[in-house]
Amino acid sequence: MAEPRRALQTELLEQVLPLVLEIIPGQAGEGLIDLYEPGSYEGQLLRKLCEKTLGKKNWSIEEQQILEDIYRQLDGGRLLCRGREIQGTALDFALLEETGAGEKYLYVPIRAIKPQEGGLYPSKKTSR
Amino acid sequence: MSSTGEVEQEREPPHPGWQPLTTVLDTTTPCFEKLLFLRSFETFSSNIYVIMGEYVTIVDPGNDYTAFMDLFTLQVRPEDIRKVVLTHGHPDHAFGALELLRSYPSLVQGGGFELILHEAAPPQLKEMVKDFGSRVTEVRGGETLELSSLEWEVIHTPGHTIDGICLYHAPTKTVFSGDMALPHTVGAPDPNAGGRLDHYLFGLKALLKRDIKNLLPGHGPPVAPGGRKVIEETYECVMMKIIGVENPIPWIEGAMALAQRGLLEEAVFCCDKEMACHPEEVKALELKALCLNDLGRSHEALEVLDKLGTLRSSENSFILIGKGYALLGLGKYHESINCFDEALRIKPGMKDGLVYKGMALYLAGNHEAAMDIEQFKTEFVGRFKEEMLKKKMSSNE
Repeated sequence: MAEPRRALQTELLEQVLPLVLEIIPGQAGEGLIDLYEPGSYEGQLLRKLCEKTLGKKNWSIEEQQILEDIYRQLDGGRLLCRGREIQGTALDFALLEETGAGEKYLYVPIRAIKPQEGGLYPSKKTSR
Repeated sequence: MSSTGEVEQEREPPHPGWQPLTTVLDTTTPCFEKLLFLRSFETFSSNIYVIMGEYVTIVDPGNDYTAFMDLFTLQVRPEDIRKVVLTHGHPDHAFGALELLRSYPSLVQGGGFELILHEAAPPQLKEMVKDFGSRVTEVRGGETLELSSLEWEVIHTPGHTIDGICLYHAPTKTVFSGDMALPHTVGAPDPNAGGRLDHYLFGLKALLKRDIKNLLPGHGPPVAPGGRKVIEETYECVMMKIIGVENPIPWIEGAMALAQRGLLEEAVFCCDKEMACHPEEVKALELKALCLNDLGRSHEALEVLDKLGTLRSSENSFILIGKGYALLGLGKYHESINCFDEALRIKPGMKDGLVYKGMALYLAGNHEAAMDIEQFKTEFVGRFKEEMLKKKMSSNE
C-alpha cells in the first residue's frame, strides 16, 4: 500500500477517478479490497458502499478468509475510519493516491473492529 | 452485521476530530496549546494525545493508523513523530505504534521513533517495534521524560495492568492517566496483563500524592480542574471492590472493613471522608487514631487523639493508651509511661496498658522494671520464642 497522503476535498471532487475501498479486519496488515468505477460511488454513503462490498459473493479463497475475519470483528464491532464512524460519503474520507505507473485513484481505508480495551467496571459507586 | 448483510450501526453525534486541548478544556494555559487530542470512539480505541514542539510526541497512539490521517493533513508529517509513549500495553492504546510504522514508510525511512513504555510491557510489542528499526526505552517509574520540550515524571501505576504508567507534569498539575483513572468509570484489572486490585491501590495512592488538577485519561473526556476528584472516586471504587461491596455504604463501615483487611491507609481515607460529613464522629476519630499509630504516623495520631480528647467530657483510657503508643513511636518513652500510668489508674489491670508500659520501660533501658510486669514478660517471651522458631524454620528450609 502506498503511503496515505493529504488530499484536498475540492481537488478530489474535480477529478473523475476510481475509488478503492479497503476494509481491514482488526489489526490485520491487509484488508478486503474492492474497486468502484467512476460514476458508481459518487454521492453514495460510505456505509452503503461497505455494505455493498461485504454483500458481494465472488471473492477468492484468500479474500473469503479476510471477509470471515471482518464478520468476526463486526460481531459486536463497528466500521470506523479516522477514529470515528463512517458517516458521510466516500469522498468525505477519501485520500488521493497514485499507482506505481502514475495513475491516480481515491483510497478509503476502513477498519472493522471489536471493542478493544481491557474491561471496565460498570460505574463508580462510592461509600456515603 | 445482520443475516441480511446489513451493517448495524447506530447514529452517533458528529465526532469533533482532532482538537487542541485549549478548546477541549476551555483554558488558555500556554502548555495546552501544544497538545492535540483525538477522543476515542467508545471502547474501540483509546484517546490519542499529540504533543507538538520541535518534534512530535504521541501519548497512546490508539490502534488504527487511519485515526492519524486528519492530523497528517494539518501541520504534522509522519516523520515528525520522534517519541511515542504507551501508558500500558493493551492493544487499544499500543497497536497504533505498529500501525504507524507499517503504514507510513517515510516514518521508518526517517529512523522511526523512540517507543517509551514500562519494562513489564508485552515483549512481543517491543520486538515488533524494533523490527521496524525504532528504538525502545523501558521505564520503571521515577524517571523524568523530556517530551517535545516538556518534562513529565513517570509514575508506575500498576493495577489495571502490571505495566501501567502515568505521566505527570508538575508545572501545570496535569497527568496522562491512561486507564488508571477514567471519568465516570473504572478500568477493571486485567489478570491476563498482570492487573490486580491490590496493586490498583498502590498506583492510585502514588497519584494522590501529587498535586493534580488536570486529568488526561485514556478514554472519555479530559477533566479540568477536577482531575483529583476523578482519582479519588477511582480509589473509593477500588476500595469497595476489595471489600466486596456493590452499593454505597457509610464511610465508617467501609473504614472498619478495610482496617480489618489491614488496609490502614485506605481506612484512614474513609475515616476522613466520614469526618468531612460528620466532623465530631467519635468512632471515625478513634479508628483513624488506631490506624495512624499502626502506620507509624505518630504525630498525626497525636493530633487526632487531642481532637478526640476535646470531644470527651471525662478522662478516657483509650485516648491515653493511644497517646502513650504514639509517644512510644516518637521515642518519648518517659512521657509515654506517664500516659500508660494514667490509663492504668482509670482502668487498673488493663492488659494493653501493662504490655505497652513494659515496652516503654524496656526501650527506655529499664529492663528489670519491664520484666517485673507479668503481662509484658509473657508477651515478650512469647514473641521472642515465636521469632526464634521462625528463624529456625527458615534456616532449615
